[in-house]
Amino acid sequence: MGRFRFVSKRLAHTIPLLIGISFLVFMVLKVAPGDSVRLLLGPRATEEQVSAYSREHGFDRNIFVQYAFYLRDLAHGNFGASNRSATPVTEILAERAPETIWVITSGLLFTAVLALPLGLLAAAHRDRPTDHLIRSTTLVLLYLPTFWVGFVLIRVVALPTGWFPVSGFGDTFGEHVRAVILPGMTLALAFTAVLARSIRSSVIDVLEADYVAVARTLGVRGMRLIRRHVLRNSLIPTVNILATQIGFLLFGVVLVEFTFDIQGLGTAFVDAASRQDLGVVQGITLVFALAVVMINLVADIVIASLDPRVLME
Amino acid sequence: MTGAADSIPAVLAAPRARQRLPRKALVGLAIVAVYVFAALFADVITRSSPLDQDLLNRLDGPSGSHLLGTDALGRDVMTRLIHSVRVDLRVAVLATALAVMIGSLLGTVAGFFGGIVDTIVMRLADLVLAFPVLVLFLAVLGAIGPGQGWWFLGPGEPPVIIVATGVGWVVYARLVRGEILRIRQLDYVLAARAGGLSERRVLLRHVLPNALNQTIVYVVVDVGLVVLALASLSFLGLGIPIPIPEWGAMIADGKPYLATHWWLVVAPGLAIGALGIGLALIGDSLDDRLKGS
Repeated sequence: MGRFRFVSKRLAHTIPLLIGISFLVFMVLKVAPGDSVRLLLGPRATEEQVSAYSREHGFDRNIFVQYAFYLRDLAHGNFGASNRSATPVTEILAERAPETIWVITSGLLFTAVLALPLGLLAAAHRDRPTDHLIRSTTLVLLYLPTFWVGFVLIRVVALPTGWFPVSGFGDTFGEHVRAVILPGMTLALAFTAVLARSIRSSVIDVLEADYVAVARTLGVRGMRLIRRHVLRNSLIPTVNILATQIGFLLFGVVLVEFTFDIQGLGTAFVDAASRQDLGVVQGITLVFALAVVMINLVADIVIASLDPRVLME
Repeated sequence: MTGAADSIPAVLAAPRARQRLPRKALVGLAIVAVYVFAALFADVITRSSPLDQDLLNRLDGPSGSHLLGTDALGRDVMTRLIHSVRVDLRVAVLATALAVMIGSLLGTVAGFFGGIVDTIVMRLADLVLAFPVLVLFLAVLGAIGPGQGWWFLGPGEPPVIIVATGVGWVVYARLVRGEILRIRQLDYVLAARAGGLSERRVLLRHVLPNALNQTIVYVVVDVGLVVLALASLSFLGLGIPIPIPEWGAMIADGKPYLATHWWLVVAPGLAIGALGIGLALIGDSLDDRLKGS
C-alpha cells in the first residue's frame, strides 16, 4: 500500500469517529433534566423566546433533525454560545486556549525528560535494584491523585523557595514560563507513571530482538547500541502509547489547571459544567474530542513514516 | 522417615495450593483489610459524626482528641477521613462490578457470535477509547447534577457509578473477547468438541470460565482507579456534593490552608494512594499466579 493510500484510508477511518463524537456531544445537552431550551436560554427567558428559539433551531422536531441542525451550525464554524453571557464559544476558545497550550507544552517537555530516560534506565537494568526502584516509584505515582501531587509541589517547592507562583499565569512571557513549570511537572509526573512502564517493556522487547543480538556480536555496545538500534525502534510503540493516552492527558490538564488556578480551557470547562452552562460545555468537549482524533491521526502517520512495515498491513 | 520424604518427587512435595502467599500479596491484603475494617466499623471507631461542626475549635492542630486536627468548620478530620472510605469504596466496588458484568457480557457475545455483533461492540469500544471520555462524562455530570441519591446510595453516587461504568466496560469487553478467540483454538476445546459436547456447552462450560480468569486482576486494580477518578471528580466539585465526606472534596476544602495546615490536604491524598497501592499489590500477585511464575 502506498503512502497516499495509507493516509487516505486512515482519514476515512476518522469519519465515523467524528460522526460518533459529534452525536455524543450533541446528546450531552439532551440528557440534562428539564427543558433543554430553557436551560440554554436561562431562567429569565420568556415563553415566547423559548418557543421562538425552539422553532428557529428545530428543537420542536425529532432528534435526528435537531442533530442535522447542530451539524449545520458546526459546518458554519458555529460552536454554540454560553447560556449565561451569550459569548460565542469560539471567542472563549480563542481567549482560553493559549494558557492550556502552555500547560500542555510544559507537561510534554517534562514528560519527555522524565519518562523516556526512566523507561530506558529501567529496561537497561532489568530486574536489578534500579529497575525495581523505578517501577515501584511509578506505581506509587500512578495511584496518587494528580491534583494532590500539584499541591505537594506547591507546599514543598513553590512556598518555601518563592521561585514559582502558587497560582495564575502572569502577564509577561517570563512570568508565563515560570507559571507553567510546576503545572507542567505535575502533569508530567502523572503521565510518566503511565508511560515509563510501557516504554520499559517496549525497550525490553527491542533489546531481545535478533537484530540487537547481531549488533552486539558485531561489537556495538553501550550508548551507541542504545541510540542507533534500540531507541529508534522502541520509539514506535512509544508514539502509539502516547497517542492512546491523550484523553488521559486532557483530563490531567483539566485537573492541573484547576489546581494551579490557571484560566485555560480546563477551568473554563469545569466552571461551565458546575454552572450548567451547557453551551460552553458542549463546545469545549467537542474541541477536546477533535484534538484527540487529530493527534491520533498524526501519530499514525508518524508511525507509518518511522516504520514502513505499517504501510504493508 | 527422612529417607522416605527425600524420595518424594519435588512436584508432589510442594503442591501449588499450599504455597505461601508472596510478601506483596500479604502487604496488599493488610492494607485493604484496614480500609474494609474502617468502612464496616466507621460509626464505632469514630466518636462524632463527620458532619458535626465545632466552630469554636476551627483549624485545630493534631492532638489527642483530634488525631488529625479539625478543618475550617471545626469538623474532625480523622472522622471525615474514615467515613470517606464508605463512600469511595461503595462507589468503586459497584462501578467496577457493573463494568465487569457489562463488559464481559458484551465481550462474550462479540467473541461467540462474531460478525456484525462483534463489529458493533468493538466499534463502540473504539469510540470510548478514542474519545476523552472522562471529559465527556464531566460534561454529563455537570448537566445532570449530583441528584438526591438512590436506594442505599448517597447524593452524587449514582451519576458517578454510571459514568465510571460507561468508561470501565471497554477493558473487560476487549479482554474477554480476545481470550475467547484465543482459547477456542486450544486443543482441549477441540477435544471437548470431538467428544460430542454441544457448541453451547463447550463455550459456556469450557471456554468462558478460562476467559474470565484474567478479568479478576483487572477488577482489583480498577477499584483503585475508580477511587482515584471519584476523588478527582469531587475535587472539581462535580462528584460527591458537599458536605458529605469524600477524599477529593476534602483536598479541595484544605486548599486555602496549604501553607499553614498542610495535613488537611496531605492526609486524604495519602488515603487514596495507599488504597490504590494495596489493591495494585494484590492484583500484581494474582497476575503472577495466573501466569504461573
